[in-house]
Amino acid sequence: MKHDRELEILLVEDNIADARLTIEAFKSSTLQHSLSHALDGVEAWEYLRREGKFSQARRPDLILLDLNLPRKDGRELLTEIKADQQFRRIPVVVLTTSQAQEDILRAYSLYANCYVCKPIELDDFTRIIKSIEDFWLATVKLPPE
Amino acid sequence: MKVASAIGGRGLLISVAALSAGLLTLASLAPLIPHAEWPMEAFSRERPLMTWPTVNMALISPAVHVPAPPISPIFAQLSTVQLAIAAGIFAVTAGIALALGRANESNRRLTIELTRRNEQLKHFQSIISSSNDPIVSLNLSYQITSWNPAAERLYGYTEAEALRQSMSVLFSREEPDQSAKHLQRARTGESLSNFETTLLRKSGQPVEVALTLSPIRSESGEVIGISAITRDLSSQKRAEQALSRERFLIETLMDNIPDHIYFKDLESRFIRVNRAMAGRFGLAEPAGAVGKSDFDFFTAEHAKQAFADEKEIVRSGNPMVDREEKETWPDGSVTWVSTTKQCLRGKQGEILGTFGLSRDITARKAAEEALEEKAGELTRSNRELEQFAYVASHDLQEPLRMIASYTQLLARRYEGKLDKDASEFIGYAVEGATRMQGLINDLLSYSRVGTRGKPFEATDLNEVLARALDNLKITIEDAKATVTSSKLPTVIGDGGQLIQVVQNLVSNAVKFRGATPPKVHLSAELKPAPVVDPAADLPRCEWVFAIKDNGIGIEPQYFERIFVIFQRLHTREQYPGTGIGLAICKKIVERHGGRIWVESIPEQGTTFYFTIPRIEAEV
Repeated sequence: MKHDRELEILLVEDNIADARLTIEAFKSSTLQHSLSHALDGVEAWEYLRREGKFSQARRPDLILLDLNLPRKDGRELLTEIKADQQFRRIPVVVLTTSQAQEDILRAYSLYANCYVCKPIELDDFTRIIKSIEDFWLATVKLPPE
Repeated sequence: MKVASAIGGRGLLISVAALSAGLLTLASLAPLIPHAEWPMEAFSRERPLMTWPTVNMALISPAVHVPAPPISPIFAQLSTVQLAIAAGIFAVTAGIALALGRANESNRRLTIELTRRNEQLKHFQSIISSSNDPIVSLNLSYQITSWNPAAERLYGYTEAEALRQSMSVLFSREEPDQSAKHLQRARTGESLSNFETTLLRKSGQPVEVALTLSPIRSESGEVIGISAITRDLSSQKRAEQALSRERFLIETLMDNIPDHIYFKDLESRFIRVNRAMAGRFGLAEPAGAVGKSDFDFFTAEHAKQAFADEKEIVRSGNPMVDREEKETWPDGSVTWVSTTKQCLRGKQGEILGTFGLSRDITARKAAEEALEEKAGELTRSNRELEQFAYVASHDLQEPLRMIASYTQLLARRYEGKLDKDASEFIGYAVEGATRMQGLINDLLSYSRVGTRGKPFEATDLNEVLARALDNLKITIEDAKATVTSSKLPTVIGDGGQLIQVVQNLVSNAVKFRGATPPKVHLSAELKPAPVVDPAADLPRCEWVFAIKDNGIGIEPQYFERIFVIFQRLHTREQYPGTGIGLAICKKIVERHGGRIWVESIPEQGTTFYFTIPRIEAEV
């Protein structure tokens, strides 16, 4: 499905290496997209509010959120996003290494849209990113702004 | 009547006889004096003719000279004399009769007195005879002069045997002098009361008595004998002994038991405490506590509570059993006791106060608190461990991903530009990282057996097997394995963990197969449990599960090693796996209180056994 505009993806991930992997994985996508990166929860909010260096930021269509972040951790950010009238309709995909049951439960309890575990192997990772892309950006209908 | 009684029966008879004789004489003479006249008239007639003697005669005789010639005056005088004699006889007889009567009367009085005294004597006699106490009298030479039936019964000598014997025959050989001395003193007039001594029976058997010696005095006050009354003290002594023994037991209890025993009145003042309590109060003797109360020894905090408890016990009549009390002392120290208090009741059931026992449980309480603390520590420790394990695994995973992913990215990006060696090297690197991740996950699983263990409940092993097989579906299909089982029981355990065990064992059985398609069979048997500690309250039976396969088998020298964490008998190329499976099985089985072991014949097959104790509460 083609969109009339570029899709904005916000990646909230503190590990640069990890972020790079995600970016690389997205590179093979056919969709027109723009991937922005926030290093932690605080930056993520600045991005959303278009504060500081993110004054030119556009509203994300999808948020990829890691759980364990410094300063403001992923769970907290998730809570805040989903509590905020303006941003709560943005789908949040929790993208984390944790397979812990309590983390999965917690994320869904905080209204994460879905929970994805990052696999170790690159191929698997690429496949998963692709499926995220396919699903959330190509298959589902996103809410209007 | 008075006269008649005064004279007496015999006297009366005599006087009547005498009177009758007199009258009879008189009557017989009556025809002889047909013309008798009164003397005065006769005298007046004869006076002028009489001489003095005739006048005298006329005076004394009623019968006087009469014209009738047939009667001679002498005759007439004779009848008068006879009359006089008769009268005299009568008088004398009467006198004698009266005298006799008086003699009779005094005789009679004497008889009455005698009878009375006799009866009194008999009465005293019967008192002595019927007395249960031996009463013996002695003369001044200490010889036995009387011996009552009670003495016969107690000492065995009959009266005949005893009389005339010396009192000393009764004395025991041990203290003859004492008793002799007492006899001497009694002889001098001294009384001796209730002297406890041992006398001898005729049989030689000793008998304990209380001896009372009293001097027997004559009317003049002289000592003429000794009376000895003995009272058999045997039953009294027995009662005393029994009482003494009871007291001994109670005293022993009160003096030696370390628990605090106390008796209080209705105002909660101590009536009696045992030695241990007195000691705790800092008193030299238990008597020092009498009259005091808890308020004198404890601080008000404890004393008030105890006082209130006792008031309630008295009010309701109900006991207070095994109450844990905190004793607070003026020096600031604190002890814990387990107290039981009850109403102290009198013979009619009326409440007199309270009594109780307090057992020091300070040590036990300290132990309990220590245990609680340890349990708390354990929980904390488990939580920390869990957290550690989670964090460790999570934080370790991250770099692993980096290693694996970037090496692969490298390979992809520079595909074609790298040689075969480079590819191989990258392969090992990635494999290393992947394996590392596996190990981390395994360690996490292993640690979670303890920290994530669920409470035990009834678990059907058939369902457990079904779930395990479900999880292994692909593996089983790929290997063309057949898994069978006999009916499995329900046990008390952690379902999730039991699935792990069964799954691991079945997975191994399938994995370590030989050339032939693997056949795995599960069975269970109820067997008596081996008794390790007879004192411990352990289940008597256990379920022994067996998982038998027809795989490659295990050599006996490795039977123990395989249960050690990460120990493997093969290379990863031969058979995959980290070597954690059996270690996890062992940990889970041991958590359930069971054992796990293996029997195997190399190249034929292996049977793994594990036990789960059978708890009686099972369905």
